[in-house]
Amino acid sequence: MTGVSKQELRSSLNTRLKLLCVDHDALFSSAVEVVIFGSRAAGVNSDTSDLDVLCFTQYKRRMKTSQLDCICYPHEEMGSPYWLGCELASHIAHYGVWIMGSGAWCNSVHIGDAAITRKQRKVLSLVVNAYSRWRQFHPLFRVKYVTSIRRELQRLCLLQAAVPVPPTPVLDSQWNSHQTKPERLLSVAGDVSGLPHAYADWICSILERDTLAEGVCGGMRVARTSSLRSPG
Amino acid sequence: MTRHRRRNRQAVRKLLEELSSVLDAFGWYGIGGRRASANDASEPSLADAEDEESYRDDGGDQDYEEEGYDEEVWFYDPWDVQSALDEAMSNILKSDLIIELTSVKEAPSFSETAAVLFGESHELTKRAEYFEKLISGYEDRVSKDDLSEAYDVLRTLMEELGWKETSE
Repeated sequence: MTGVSKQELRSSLNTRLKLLCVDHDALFSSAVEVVIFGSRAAGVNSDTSDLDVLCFTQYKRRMKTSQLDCICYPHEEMGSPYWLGCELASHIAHYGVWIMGSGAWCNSVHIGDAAITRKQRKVLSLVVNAYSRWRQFHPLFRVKYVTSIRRELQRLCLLQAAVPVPPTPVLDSQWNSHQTKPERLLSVAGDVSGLPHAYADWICSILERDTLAEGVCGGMRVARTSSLRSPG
Repeated sequence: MTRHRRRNRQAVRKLLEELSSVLDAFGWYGIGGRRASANDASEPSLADAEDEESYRDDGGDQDYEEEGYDEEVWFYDPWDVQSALDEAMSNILKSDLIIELTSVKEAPSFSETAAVLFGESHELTKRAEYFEKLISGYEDRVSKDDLSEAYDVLRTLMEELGWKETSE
């Protein structure tokens, strides 16, 4: 990850707000904190990456386009248990670049059990939905779901270890450079409450699709894998 | 040109056919006039059933107190609708009715498909973008208000394309 100057990020934010015809002053005049986070703040963005912005202000609002994802929260939420324990707060506390405000709340951030439970539920839902629709999915959509499942398992793995989740390009890089072990992801998936055991085989087979080398799951795989490759 | 138009009409028909399945997927959340049948491809929404219970509970449960972001809003897992939409887009892609999509390298979104069919700045494309935004949720969940609005946005979009609800 490379250092990105605050000025550069501020300028990038202003440009994107102008493109959206959003008045910067009107948006941020009542803000107490403005933080840029995600891949651009960490300097691991691609040319097409959007700019992620968190703003604690007087109201709740979200602006989401291909260029900008700006989340506005009422400033009283800053100290709430929900916020301080959530995945996003821990990410921002670690990777965020402050444009405005002090970020004093960062000292109280801790990855809570509720954040882990939410992520487990997301994994469960993602896997169940992908599994049930797999035959109908076009190959490009299969790739999309394989990538999503792998990334969410990586995130769950990190949350369980109380590690702030890095931007997505870092997750991909860790996977492609084999820093993330597929066995670990399968183990994490196995602990997801409500996920049928049979799905573990399927997850194993799809994780193999997401790697350069076949057989990465090695001994984790059990019998009947071939029949689960194309679930119905 | 005529062939292109005919093809476009076929593509819009196919789009409507597929989107009606997406509309049905809202039934899992108790939104919309029709509930999806148990034989549909999607499983019932598993993820936030417990959350729903706790949000209905006024008993002052401690976990709820800590986790609750807005006591008046119920949150849901959006993947039932998102995967239904992806299946719809998959079927459109497989139909080869939209030539511009036959050589794409990544799974096209609903709004990208709409942009090809209607143009990037067309109102229907903007609505497709808004629909995607509503169902994208935040922190792995989406509010029931946003889901209800997403249903209305999709239904209106479909009606403008000539869709009429048929009785089962």
